[in-house]
This record gives sequence, structure tokens and C-alpha cells, in this order.
Amino acid sequence: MAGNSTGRRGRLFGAAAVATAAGTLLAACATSTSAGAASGARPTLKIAAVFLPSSLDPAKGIDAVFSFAETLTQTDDQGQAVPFLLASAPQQKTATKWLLTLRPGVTFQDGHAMTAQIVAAAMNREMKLSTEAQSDLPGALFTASGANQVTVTTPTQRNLLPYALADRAFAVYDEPVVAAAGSASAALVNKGVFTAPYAITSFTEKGMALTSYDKYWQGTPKLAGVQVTYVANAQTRLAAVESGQVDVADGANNPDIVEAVKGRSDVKLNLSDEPLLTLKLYFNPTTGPFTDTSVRHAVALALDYSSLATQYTAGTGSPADSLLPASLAQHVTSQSTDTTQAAALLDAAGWKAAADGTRSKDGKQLALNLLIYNERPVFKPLSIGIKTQLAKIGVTVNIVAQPFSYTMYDNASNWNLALYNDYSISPTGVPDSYMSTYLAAGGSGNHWHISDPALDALLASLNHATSEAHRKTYLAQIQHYVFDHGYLADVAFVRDGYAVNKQWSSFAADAGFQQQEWTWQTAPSS
Amino acid sequence: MTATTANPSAPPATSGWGRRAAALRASTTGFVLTRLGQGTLTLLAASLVVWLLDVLAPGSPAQQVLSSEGIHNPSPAQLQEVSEQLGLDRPLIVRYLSWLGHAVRGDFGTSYISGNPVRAELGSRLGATLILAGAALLIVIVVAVVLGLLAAAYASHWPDVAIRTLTVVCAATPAFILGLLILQVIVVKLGLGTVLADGSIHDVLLPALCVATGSMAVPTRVLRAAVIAAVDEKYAVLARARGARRLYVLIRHGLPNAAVPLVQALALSAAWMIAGTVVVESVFNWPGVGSYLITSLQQRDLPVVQGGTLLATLGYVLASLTADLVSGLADPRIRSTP
Repeated sequence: MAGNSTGRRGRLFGAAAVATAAGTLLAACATSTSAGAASGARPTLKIAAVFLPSSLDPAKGIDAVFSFAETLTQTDDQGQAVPFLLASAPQQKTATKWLLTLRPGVTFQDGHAMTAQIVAAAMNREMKLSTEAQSDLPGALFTASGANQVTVTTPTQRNLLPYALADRAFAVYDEPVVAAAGSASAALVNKGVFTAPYAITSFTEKGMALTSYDKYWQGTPKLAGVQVTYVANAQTRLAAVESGQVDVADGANNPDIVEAVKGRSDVKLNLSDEPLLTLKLYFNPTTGPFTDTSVRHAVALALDYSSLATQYTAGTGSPADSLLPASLAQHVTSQSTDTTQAAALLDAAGWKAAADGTRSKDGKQLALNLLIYNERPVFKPLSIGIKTQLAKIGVTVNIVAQPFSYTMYDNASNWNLALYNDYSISPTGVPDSYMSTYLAAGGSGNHWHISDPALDALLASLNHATSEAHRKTYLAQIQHYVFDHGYLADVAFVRDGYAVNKQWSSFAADAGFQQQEWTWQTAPSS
Repeated sequence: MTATTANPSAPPATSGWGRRAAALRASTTGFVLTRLGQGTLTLLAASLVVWLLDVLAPGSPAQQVLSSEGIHNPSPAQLQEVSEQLGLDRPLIVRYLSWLGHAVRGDFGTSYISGNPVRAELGSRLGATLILAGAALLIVIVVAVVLGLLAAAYASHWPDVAIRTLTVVCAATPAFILGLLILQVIVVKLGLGTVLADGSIHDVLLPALCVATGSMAVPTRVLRAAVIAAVDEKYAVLARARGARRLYVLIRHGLPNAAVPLVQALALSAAWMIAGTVVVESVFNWPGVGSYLITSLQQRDLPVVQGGTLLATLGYVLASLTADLVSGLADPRIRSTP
């Protein structure tokens, strides 16, 4: 009996092993990649993306970087708002009334004409549902005032309306179709609700596919379509380009990727024209030594922003000397480095240096928690740079790295400094709305516990500026104020990076401030 | 123990064979019930730890929900409203029991990020993970059997030393590093396989190889030791004395006797495999539960993290339970082990 049992088990084992080997062999044979056949004469652009749009409904906040929607105006590379789906620049009829003339001959991908009624309905839906739209043009009302004219009425004077209309929050779409389909992303696939050159034909958590809209108003798109695949891992994105599975990998301004492609001919790193990303250092004024304005200012003065930008961003960063990049007309030099003054400010505040260089007051060491998040790899070397620089004036820095969440800033007692990354001047090219959102007390983006009546007054004045000269004055005052009071310092302006293969070696994204990964003219180099 | 003492209401056995069969059934039932009970207790303990994530995580769940809806600085009234909707005002024990009741039915709530039910989100990715884990398990079995037998056949000689060294190196290499190495060498340089896998059987070999590499050490070594022990038994010595070839003795007598420890070692490897799957899915962009879990962790999508973690725990408990049951059925001595 035992022998039979053992024999059966042995045979079973043998059979299992043979079956396994066969299965493995089968899988190995099936693993070879089948290259996708080119569809027609036009190629398809394949992108490995670091993230996907969170929604296809502009009211929920779409990401302009995926150019599946268009706006009435755009901001060019000079930072000027220019008409896009408008035939001409918005005309200011009175202090609170603007007239928009729509570009004739524009159709949605579903074939419907872009009429004043549809545009007004889309804009009013945005005003109702989108917090970004409400922040850009509070209380604005859009009314169709002719077949191709829309009147915008605002409660107060809004000189920056042409710029605000470039915000993705004011993307134009076929409102009746969206209203009928619902705002779920899946419901908007294959509906052709936008005017863009490529229409969305699939959208899942793995990626999105777009196909050419051949009746696009600027001309026939150069590509058959665009295929976007979500690839979270930076090294995997690069490997996808290297293996030829995709043409372009975004999010390649990662220091590891920059190093990996240096000096290579098969894969190249293309940086965006404008440094749209801003690496910001926020100061929490409500906790510990930072309740003292002079201590915050001292820390802001102790940092060498030029060195941080050049040494710790792998060549993708430009030094910041203000909240605005130098290419903008409103830029003023408001940030500086002065370690002598920084040390003097700390001495005056009672933080005295010991023999080992560290500073203490009432027996307590001057130590700060610097909060960073893991999703932005450049923060790690940058935080070490900040720690090294502040150590020179006796300030100890503890780096606290976490997965990103807005709630990480909620507990004010946990942190003193926070590195934060955003597109503060994109896509509209103006920082006004951003400043109020992120710096004003009660601003929806003010995670930093900043509450300063004098700053609030400056921001309110900026929002109600009636002339460009006034606006420029207030912007200059704000730039100086936030640095001198140690609320915010920009560490570097960083260019977006794209790893591209040979065929797409001239791929250039982000022309101007629009963050667009593709336009209707995007095509391979050869 | 007899059938009569185990089950007084059962009719008395009428023969010695019948009594033995009844005793076997009773011991088997007891063994199965005990292991099931242990598995259930493990799951309950895991559920408590997983649920505590929600309580201990910084920031309230209400804030997370509102943040996912684009409201980053909610008013106290908004927080209160969502807190009530989520039942956060109830006592902790009530919240846990309510959550557990739903979890038992596979209802882990709604993803903060996608707004879809967690069950649907995990369910749509489970197939890809099972394909990956299944393929990795097959590779581990094949490699463990082949290398284990080879090592046993050449015990203390250079092939044995080489295999043992190889298994140590494999176990010590992080899956993340190995995955990137495979991508660079096999896919990019040699042009075999694919970087962006679609989760199907066609693309499974390389990621499965990556998962399997770290898991093969224990089964290989256990099998080697068991086979060496078995071929020293009298029946094997007798078989060799009767002229049987060494390879025949290894396969005919050594391998069947190594089956039970091998199954147990494979179950132990399942824990590593679950962890390895999470990492490898991320490297190979494999659209399974593991990569989704990493993304959800980064986004602090707690309902998904809870559901995914409990699912992984369930996988491990099931693997252990299966190993115990198979071992118990194959070897009666194990059934009597408490």
C-alpha cells in the first residue's frame, strides 16, 4: 500500500513538473513583444506618463498637460494672453463687462458647432462647480449675446480676465452633452465634447487613448493618435523609451533619469522652454522659533538659492530670486542671501551660538523640522542642501519625508519648513490668483497657517487693481513682503523634462505657459 | 481517540477496520477545524490592525474624503457633515464591528481617489496578480525540484555548493534591483519581453521570474535536505543495494518523501511572494493589486490600503492553511500535532 501511495505521489509530482515546464516554456514563447503595426501614414505618439488626468470633466479640475481640451485664450511664451478659441482679444466694454467674440468655424469633435450659447453654458457650469474658476473670476456671469458673442459680467473690475480664461478651469466643451452624460470620466469617453485635435477614445486607470479629429479647426492633426500609459516608476518609464515601447517619457527631470541619459545618443532629455515648475519653501509661522518673524527672515536670508538651484536639481533648475521667474514683466528681485545678517538677526532674537556652532535659547536648541514628500525625488538632495546651508549659521534641520497628502500640513506643531512643488504661474502666466489662494488667510491652498492682515490687505489690493501699473506695484510689494517676513521663498524654477527616443528627438512640450504635451502640429523628428 | 468518544451519538463501529476509519475521520475533522479556527483568528487579528490604520493615520478620514473632492480647507460644518456620513461619531468598537461586518461581505467602502467601490477596484486587478503569483509559484516549484535534486545528488560536492550559494544570492537580492536589472539587460539590451506589461499570460515570464527568484531559496534547500534524509533511510539503502541507480532512488524514494516539507516551504515562501509581487508589479508596471496598493499608499487612499492588505493577509492564510491541510492529509503524524 505504502509503495503504491508513494508511487502515485511520485508520478503526480513528475506530471506536475512536466506540466509546469511546458507552461513556463509556453509563457516564454509568448513573451516576445509584437510591435504594433502602424495605422495609416500618420504615426501614433506613445507617452509614458507620471500621472493621468484625475478627471475628464473640467469642472472637477482637469490637467492641462494632457491637451484634450482647449480654452478661449492661451498664454504665449512672452507671458501674454492671446486669443485661441476667440477670434480676437477680449474687449473690455466697461469696468465690469467684457465682450468675447468666438472664432468662427470651430466645431466640437461630436460635430456640433461651437456656439455662444454652448460656450456660455459651459463657462457658467464651471463657475458653479469649479473652485478654480470661482477663484479666478469670482461671481462672473457668462451670457450669450449673439450667435458668436459672449458677454462676461463680473461684480468687481477684473483686468486679468483674458489671462483667467486661459486657465484649464475655463476649458470649452459641449455643455449639453456633458450635462446629459454626467461628469463621470467614463461617461465622457467617445463623446467628442471638446474642440481639441485629438478626441478621447478610452480612459482607464492604466492610460488613455486619443484619436485624430480630422476636422480640427487649425488643420488636420499630424498624428493618427496619442497613446498615454500611466507608469509610476521613473526607471520603468525610461526603460520603456529605451526599449522602444514608448516614444516619450514625462517626469524625466528626476535627478536619477538626468544622470542616466547623460551623454547618450539613443535616448535624450528634452527640457521645457519655460521653467514652469516652482520649488517653494514655505515657513510655518505658528510654531516654535518661527513665531518670531526675525527668525524666519534669518533662515530665509541664510539660504543660497543660486547654489541650491544649480547643485541640487541636476541641471533642471534655474536660481530663484523672487516669487516670479525673470521672464515675467512683474518680476522684481526680492530674495537675497546674507549669512552675516542672518546670524545677526538670530543673535538679536536671543538664539546664541555655542562653541560647536549650534544655536540655543533658554536651553533649547534651534532645531527645525523640514517636511518633504516622497513623490518629488528632487526634494531629497535639495533638503540635504538646505540642511547643510542652515547648519552653517547654527540651525539644525531634521528632514521629515512622507507620502504626499494635504493633511500632512494640518498639524502645525509637526513642521517648521515645507518644500512644495507646483505650477504657480501656469497655465495663465499670472500669479495673482495663486497668491491669494496660497497666501491669504482662509485661502483654499493656504496649508501653511499663514494669517497676516497686512499681507491680506496687499493681496486684496492686488485683486482689485484697476491698472497694470498698480498691479505691478502690488506684486512687487507682495514679493518683498513674503520674503522679508519669512513666509515663503522660491528655491528654484525647474523645467519639465522628457526622455525621448531618436525618432522624437526634437519633441518639445510646454511651449509658453500652457503645459501642453502635444498640439495638432506635434510630429516625429524624422 | 475513537469514533465513540469523538461522537457519542454515532452508531458503534462494528469492526476493527471501521473503528480505524472512524478514528481517522474524527482526527482529520478535528485537525481541519483547528486549522480553520487558527486561520480565522489570524484574519481577525489582521483585520483589527488594518482597521486601526484608519484611526491612527494623521488627518481625519473626513478630511481625506473632502480633499479627494478638491476641498482642501473644509469648514467645520463640512467636516462634521462628512464625519456623520462616515459614522466617525460612533464609539470605536461599534465602528470596528460595523467595518468588520462589511469587510466580511467584501465591502471595504469607497476609494477616496476614484470614488469607486474598493471591491470593484481590487477585483479588476486581482486576475493580473493571480496570473503573476501563479506563474511565479510554478517557476519556484520547477526550479526548487530541479536544483534541490541536483544539490542532493551531489551533496557536499561543487554543484551542491554552487546551488546553495546561488539560492543565498537570489534570496538576498532585492526584487526592486533584480527587476530593474532584468528590464535593462533582458528587455532593453536583448530585446526580449516587454517593459510595459499588460497583465496577461503573454507578458508574465519576466516579472514572474523576478518574484520567483527571491522565493526559491527555502523550498530548494528544504527539498535538498529532505531528499538527502530520505535516501539514507533503510528502504532507499536497500534499493541501492539491489542495484537501483542513484538518480532513480532520488526520484523514486527521495522526492515523494520530500513532498510534505516542500509544500510547507512553498507556503512559507508565499509570504515573500506576496511582498515581492507588490514590488515587482510596480517595476514592471504590472496592472495588479500590488502596484495599485503602492499607488494607494502614496495617495493615502486608506479604504484601498485596508482592503488590499486584508486581501494579502487572506492570501497568506489560505496558502498556510492549504499547506497544513495537504501536509496533514499526507502525513497522519502532523494531524496529531496541536
